[in-house]
Amino acid sequence: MLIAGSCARRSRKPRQVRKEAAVAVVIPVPQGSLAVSDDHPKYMSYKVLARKWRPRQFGEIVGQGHITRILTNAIQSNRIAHSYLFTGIRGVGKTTAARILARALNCEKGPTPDPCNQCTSCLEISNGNSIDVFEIDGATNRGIDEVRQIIENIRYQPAKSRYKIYIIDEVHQVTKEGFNALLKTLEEPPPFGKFILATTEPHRIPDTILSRCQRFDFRRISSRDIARRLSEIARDENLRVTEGALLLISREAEGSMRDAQSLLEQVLSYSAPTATGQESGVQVDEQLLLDILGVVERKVLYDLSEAVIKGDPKRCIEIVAGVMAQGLDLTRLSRELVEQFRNLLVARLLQEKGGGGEGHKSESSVLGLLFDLPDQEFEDLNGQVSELSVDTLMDYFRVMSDGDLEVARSSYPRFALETTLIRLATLPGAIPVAEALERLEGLERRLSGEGGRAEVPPSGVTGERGRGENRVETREVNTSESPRPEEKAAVWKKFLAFIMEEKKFLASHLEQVVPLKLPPGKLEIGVGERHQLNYLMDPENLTTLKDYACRFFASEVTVIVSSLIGKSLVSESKTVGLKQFVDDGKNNMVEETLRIFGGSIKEVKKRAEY
Amino acid sequence: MPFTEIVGHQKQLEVLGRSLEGNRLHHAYLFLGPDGVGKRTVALSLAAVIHCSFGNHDSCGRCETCLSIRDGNHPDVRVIKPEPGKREITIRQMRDLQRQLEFRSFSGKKKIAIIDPAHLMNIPAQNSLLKTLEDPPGDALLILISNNTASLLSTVLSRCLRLYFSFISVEETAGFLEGRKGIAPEKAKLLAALTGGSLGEALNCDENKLLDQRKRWIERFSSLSQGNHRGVMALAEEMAADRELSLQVVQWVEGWYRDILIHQMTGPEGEIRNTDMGEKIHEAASTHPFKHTLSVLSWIGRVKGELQRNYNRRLILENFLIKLVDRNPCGPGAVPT
Repeated sequence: MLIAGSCARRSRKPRQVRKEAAVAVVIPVPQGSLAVSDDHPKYMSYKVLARKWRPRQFGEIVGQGHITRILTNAIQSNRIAHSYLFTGIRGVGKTTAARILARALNCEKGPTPDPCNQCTSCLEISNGNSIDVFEIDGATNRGIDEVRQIIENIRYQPAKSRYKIYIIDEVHQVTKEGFNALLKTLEEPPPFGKFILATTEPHRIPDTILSRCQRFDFRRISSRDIARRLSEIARDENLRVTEGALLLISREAEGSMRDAQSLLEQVLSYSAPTATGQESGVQVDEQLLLDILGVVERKVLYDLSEAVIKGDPKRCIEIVAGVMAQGLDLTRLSRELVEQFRNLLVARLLQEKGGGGEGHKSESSVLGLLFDLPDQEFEDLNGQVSELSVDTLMDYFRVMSDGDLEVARSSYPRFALETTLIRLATLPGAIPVAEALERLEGLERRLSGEGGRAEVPPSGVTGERGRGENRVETREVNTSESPRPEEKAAVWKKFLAFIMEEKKFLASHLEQVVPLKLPPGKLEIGVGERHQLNYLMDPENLTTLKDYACRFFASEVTVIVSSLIGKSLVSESKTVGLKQFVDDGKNNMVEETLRIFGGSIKEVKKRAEY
Repeated sequence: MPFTEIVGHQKQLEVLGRSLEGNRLHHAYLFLGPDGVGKRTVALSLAAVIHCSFGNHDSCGRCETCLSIRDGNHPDVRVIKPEPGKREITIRQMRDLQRQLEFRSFSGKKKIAIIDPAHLMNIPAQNSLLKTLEDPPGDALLILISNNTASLLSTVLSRCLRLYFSFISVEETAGFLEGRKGIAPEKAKLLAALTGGSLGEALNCDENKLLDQRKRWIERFSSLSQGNHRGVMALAEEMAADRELSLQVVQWVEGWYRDILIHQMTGPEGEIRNTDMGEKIHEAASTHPFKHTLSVLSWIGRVKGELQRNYNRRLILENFLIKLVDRNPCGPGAVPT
C-alpha cells in the first residue's frame, strides 16, 4: 500500500518537477556492487556467471577478433572515431566491448588498447560511477527530452578524464524525434566527446544515424569457441561437466555467449557444490543435462518422425504422453519437430541433388551450414527419407509448422500437438516415387490404348503428334535397335555439349526441348514454348541444327520439330505430383474427361485442407 | 506458503532450494509453464523464504512477514500486472519499477519484483527492462512469469534463468482436491482430468457448473441432427449472448472432439478427459470418420481465435454450426455419406 500511495503522489506532481526526475535518470546505471549490504547474511549479492565473467580486456572477448583488432589498431594509431555503433544478436559482447572501449580511452595510462583495470578511472567505469562515462539505457530514456539533456551536457569539458563518453545501449528504442535531435551532435561532437551506441536491431535505426557512425557487426559465436570458454568457467567454478555436456550447452545457446552462460548457471543451480564447499558437486554428463534443461532427447524426435512416416498415429500419441509424463515442455518439442521435418526435407533434397550418394559426403562444409548435427544423425535422417518424395516432405513441414503456431498459442498445447501429429500421420499419399512412376506409366498406356483422341494441332507445325503416341512409338522402335532411355539421355546430353561449344544460343534453346527420337534416321524434338518453337522453326536455324546433327551422328539426319504447346511434358519431377491422382484405376472420370476434351494432365494439385 | 505445502513441481522447488542453500540465487528468473499450475504461488513462496525471519531455507507461513507477502502488501515484494482497464504492462510501469529498485529495501533484504504475466509487457516495456534485467541494482530479484516464450524478446529471454513448470499430474490434482476440498474421489478424479493438471483452474472453478453444464452443452451439440438449421440458429443465439460462455462452450466441445479423436486413434484405453461420458465417446468414435473429427477440430481452432478477437460471435457460431450439421447428415455422431 505504501508504495502504491507514493507512486500516485509522484504522478500528481506538476510537470516541471517530473522533468527533473527524468533528468536525474541520465545518471549512469549502476553496474557493480553499489549496494553493499554485508550485514544480512541471508541470500545476498551473488553475482551470476554472465556478470562475473564479463571480459575486462579486448583479448578476452571471444569470437569477435575482427572487431577487437580494428578497435585496438584504432587506439594505437590514435584514429579514434567519435561515434561507434555496435550491432549483433543478444549476448555476443556489444555492451562489454563498449565498456572496455570506454576504459581503454579513459585509462590513466592510456589511451591504451589494454586498460589497466586498476587506476581510479578504470575502477570507476567498472563500478558505473564514473562522472565522465555515461551508460544510458536507451530503451527507458528514449524521448527527445533525454536526448536534449545529452546534447546540453556534452558541451562541457570532462571533469577529470580524457574523454566524455556516452554509451547508449538498446539504442533502437530511442524515438524518431530523439534520433533526429541527436543528428547534429553525433556528426560533430566536441573533440572530447565520444558516442558508443549498441543495439540488437540495427534495422530500426534511421539511415541518417547509421551514416554518422562507424558500424561493427558482432558475429554469432561458434559453438566451439563457446564450449572452450565454458570449460574455463566450469574449471574455475569447481563444476564437473563433461565435454559432451558443454558442447550440448553451446549448441543450445545458438551463438550467444550469455545464453550459454545462463544455461550453465541453470546447471549450476542443480549440481553445484554448496557455498560451504563440503560437497564436491555431481558430475554433469549429457544425460543429466538433458534432464536439467528439459530438453527432449533427440531420439524422441526421430521416433516421432518415424511414426509419422509410417502412418502410426497411435504411436505418436503414446510418445507425446511419455514426454508429458516426464514433465517436459511441449511447445519446445513442437518447435524442435518443425526443425526435424525441415532437416528431413533438406536431407531429401540433398539426396536428389547428390544422386550418386557420395556427392554430398565430400561437401562437409556445406553440410555444416545446412545442419548443425553430428554425422550419425545425418545418416539417420537419410535413412528415414530415402523412400519419400519431396512433395510429401513439404506437406509434412507445412502441416507441422502450422501446427506449431497453434501449439504456441493454445492454452492446452498437448491437444494441439496431438492433433497436429495425428494429422501428419494420416496425411494421404506417402507413396514411394518408384511406385508412383509405375502407376503413371500404367495410366499412360491405358490412355494411349484408347485411341480416337481428338487432337487439335496448332497451326503451322509439321509432324504434329500427341505426346502419348510419340512415346509409344519411340518405345516400339527402341526395343529393336535404339538405346535404352538412360543411354538416350546421355547421347542427347553429349549432343548438346557438342553444339554448346560452337553455338551457345542454339544450345540454350535446345536445353529445354524434349528429344522424342534420336538418330539414326530421324532427329525428332518436341518443343513446349512458343518462342522456342518460332526460333527453331526458322529455316536458317533448322538448317544449322541439321548440319550439327549430321556432323555429330556422322550420318544423314532429318530434323523434325514437333510442337508440344498445351501438352504436358511429363518429366520426372511432375510424376511425383501425379501419384495421388493415378490411383489404382479408379479415376475413370479423369480419363473420361481427358478423352472427351483431348487434354492431358499438366499439373496435379492437392487439396490444401481436409 | 512454505515450499513444503506446494502441490507438485518437486524438481523446480529443489532447484530453488539448492540455489538458496548455495547462495547462488540468480537475479532474474523466468518461470515458464501453462496457466494455473502455480507459478505465481512458487514465486511468492520464494519471496517468503527470502524474507521470512523464522524458517531456515523455508518460510514458516505464519509470521507477519509471510502473511503480508501472501496478502500482497509487503513493501519489498511487488507484483506487477497490467493496470486496471489496460491489457498491457506499459513502459511507464517499468520506469516506476526501476526507480523503486534503485532504493534500498525496507527490510534490508532483497527487493523482489514479480512480473505476472510477463508476456503482457509490450515491446517498449520489455526493452526498457533489459538493462535492469542484466545488471539490476544490488539486491534486486526479478521474477518473470509467462506461459509462452513467443511474445518475449530474445534479448529478455537470454537474460533470465528459465525454470520450466509443467502440468501437475491428474493423480496429484485429484488427491489434493480430495484432501483439501473434501470432494468425493470419483468427482475429484473427473475434475482433475477435465482441468488437465491446472490446479488453479480446478480450485477456482465452480465444480457443479463445470460438471453439469459441460455435459448439457455437449449433449446439445451432439444431438443436432442434419439440416436442423432452426436448432442451429437457436443454439448459436444462446451461446453468442455471452462472450465468456461462448468461449467456454467451444472449449468444452473441443475437449469432446479431442476425446473422440484420441479414442479413434488409440482405442478404448486412450487417455480421455470427459471420463464420465466414456460410452458416448465410444459410440461417437465408432460412427465418426476421423477425417471429419480432424476438420471439426481445425474449425474449432479458427472459431476460438475469432471469438477471442471479438468478431461477431453470432455469425461465427452460426457459420461453424451450419458447417457441422451440413457436412454431417445424421448429426455430429454419424458418418457422412
